[in-house]
Amino acid sequence: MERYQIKFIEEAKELLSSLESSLLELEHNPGNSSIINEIFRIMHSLKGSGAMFGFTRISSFTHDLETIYSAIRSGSLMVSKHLIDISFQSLDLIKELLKGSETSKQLDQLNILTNQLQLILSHKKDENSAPAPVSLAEQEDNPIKNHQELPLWLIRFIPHEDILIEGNDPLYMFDELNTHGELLIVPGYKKLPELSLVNPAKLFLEWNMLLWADVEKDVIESVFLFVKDLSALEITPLKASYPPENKNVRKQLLSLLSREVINQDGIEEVLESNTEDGSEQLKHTSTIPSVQEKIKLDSESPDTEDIQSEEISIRVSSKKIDELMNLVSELITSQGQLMTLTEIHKNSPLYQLSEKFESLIRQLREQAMEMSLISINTLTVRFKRMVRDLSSKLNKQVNLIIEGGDTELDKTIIEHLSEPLLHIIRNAIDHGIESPEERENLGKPGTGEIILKAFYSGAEVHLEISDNGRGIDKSLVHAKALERMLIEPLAQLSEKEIFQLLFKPGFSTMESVSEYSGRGVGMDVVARKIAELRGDVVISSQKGIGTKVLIRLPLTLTILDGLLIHVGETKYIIPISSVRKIFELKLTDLENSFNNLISLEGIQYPFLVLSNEFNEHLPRQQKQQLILVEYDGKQMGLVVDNILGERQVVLKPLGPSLRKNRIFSGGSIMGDGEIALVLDTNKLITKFTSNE
Amino acid sequence: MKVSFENLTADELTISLSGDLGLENVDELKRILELRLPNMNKISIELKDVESFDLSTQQIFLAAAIYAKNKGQYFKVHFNIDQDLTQLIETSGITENFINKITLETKD
Repeated sequence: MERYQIKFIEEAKELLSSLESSLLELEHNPGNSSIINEIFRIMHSLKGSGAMFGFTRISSFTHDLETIYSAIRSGSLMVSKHLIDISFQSLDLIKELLKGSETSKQLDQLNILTNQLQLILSHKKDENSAPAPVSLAEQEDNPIKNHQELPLWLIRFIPHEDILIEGNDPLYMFDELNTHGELLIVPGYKKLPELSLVNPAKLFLEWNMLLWADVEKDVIESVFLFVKDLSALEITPLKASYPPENKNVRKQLLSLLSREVINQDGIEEVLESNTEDGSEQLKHTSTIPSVQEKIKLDSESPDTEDIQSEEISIRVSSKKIDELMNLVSELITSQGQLMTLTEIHKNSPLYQLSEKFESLIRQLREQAMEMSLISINTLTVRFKRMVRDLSSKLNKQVNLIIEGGDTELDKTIIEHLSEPLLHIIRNAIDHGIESPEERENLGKPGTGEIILKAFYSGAEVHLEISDNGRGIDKSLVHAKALERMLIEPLAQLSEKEIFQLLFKPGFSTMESVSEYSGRGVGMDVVARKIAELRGDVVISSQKGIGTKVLIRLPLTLTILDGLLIHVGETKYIIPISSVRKIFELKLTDLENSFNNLISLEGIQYPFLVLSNEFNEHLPRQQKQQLILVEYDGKQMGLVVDNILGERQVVLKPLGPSLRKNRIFSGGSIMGDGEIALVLDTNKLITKFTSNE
Repeated sequence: MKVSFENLTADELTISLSGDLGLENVDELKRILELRLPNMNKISIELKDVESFDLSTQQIFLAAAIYAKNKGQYFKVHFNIDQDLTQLIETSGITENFINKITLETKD
């Protein structure tokens, strides 16, 4: 049962996220019946599943909410801001209740909200009175009430005998199906033993159903999510039709559904006759196999075109993805060892096998990495909600626009990105966007805009958070930095460098500390968290126009393709994503160069001799390699003694002493057991070109 | 689960059930039906103040209804319960398609 409760909590969290998104939409479109229906459906699912898995308080509370949204659907209640506010508060409370440990504060809040819900319900109109605008809209949109043709699904469900013992009651599943559309259901009892032989804890029934609903197959499958592994479920699309109202038609359909082998064409014919008012056409009838027969047929038949054309999704816990990534990391390390052994023994067949092994691991790694990618959209509901709540508290009007929300990032990065992004957006609302009056006085639209834009840039993902608020006063930042002795009085700083001061610990330009942001511990934490993700953050701003915060992040954190190099006797790794070209040079070319600039193919590049930087004192070889790396549009050469080849490497975090040295992003264990440090070329280029 | 019996005549019995009618009490319910059904011509089940009800109970009622039908007995379940619960119970289609239908056929 506990296993199912955990599953319920996961499912409930997803439902609550959808609910939050729907409520945000409803606030802007209070008459949209499809949003109202979606909210009702979510409440209904939470109520049903909550009761099924022992979350009685959540079930009972969502029952009240469901009643409210049922009244809205029926037109006896109007959507209001007050109602949306209470819905959001209820949603937050359910999230808290899901955590398991109920506090007296939560129970007090529960009582307050329940009373408020009851109060709202007491004001609803008489069911028989004229419908409110929402109801009118709903009647226009509701396909069932309007007798529109709807997609039709034939569902055959044979539950596992132990389904009830495992804590699942199909009643709630049927009830949820009912919320999607119109359901015609017939149970089968041919396996039910006679009364004296029935083991009452086991379930011997099965069901055939017709569902008229404008939903995709995966929506129906999700209703059976908790039980489909052990039960037989077959969902077949039939020809779209009108849900029948005629008793005779329904009777005929019930009769067809009660048969052992379902006559699909027969069902469609009955429905056509219903549609065409008796103008029936004789059709060649065929039968569809039962679930068991179909399973058998599928396993026997090589013709799996239909199955192949359909992409099936399964739910996998993030913990399992982490475990998979760890195993891939281990494989990469082992493969490195195999490669080293192969090189030592110079065995050709072993070498071929090792290369094949490497290629397979690369494919496996790419698949595993793809699985661990999550879109930025998973975060945006939270941001929208925060914008709604905070702008309301501050009496500001703010519109959050998301662009490129489907951009994907490693899930570990996404998990750690939420707080920094929230802080930046919170800052933009609190300090950036002006009040509607102030904006109008300045000739700006009353509603401010915050745009969160995500896009790929090479091997990085860029996130831009821009607002059209008051911008940052550069001179104020400079003055504050002087006052706090963060800079020398005579220091000549570029605009970019002045804005970067905002990321210094404890820096805040706000005279008074705000309740919501500007505590002076914000942006430095943002910069630190982004740096922990091997990314960086830059601010640009124009006074009176707005501010833009740019975050640059690597696509993944743990595994990278690198170039293994020798500097003196030590091995290092340069990420291949930053490498543009490799040149072979004579030692004299370097010795003749001036001011660390070298001319290659007619272009002058700055360069660093890594053996000098890393204090390697071995005599330099006559032939040297210059690796041209690029970041942020700037290129520079890294001179190394030798290039050993490409390697897939697993990045391991560095100890505190090395972490302070900002030119290494991690270390990696090589095949021979040696540790190679991974150069953070982005930091190196930034440091070198800004003469830090 | 609370159970009470009322013999209207020597072969007519009304069984009233209330409380939790779920998996935890279905064994007892089965035992009661097994014990009482063979000796009666007419059994009515009255459900009221039901706090919970699941498919195991519905299934045992169905098994009892089939038994009664085969023996030519009258068996009927009266769902005098909360509207929400009634709605939930009806979603399985058992009541609509079988229990009531079997009763009607038996009565005729």
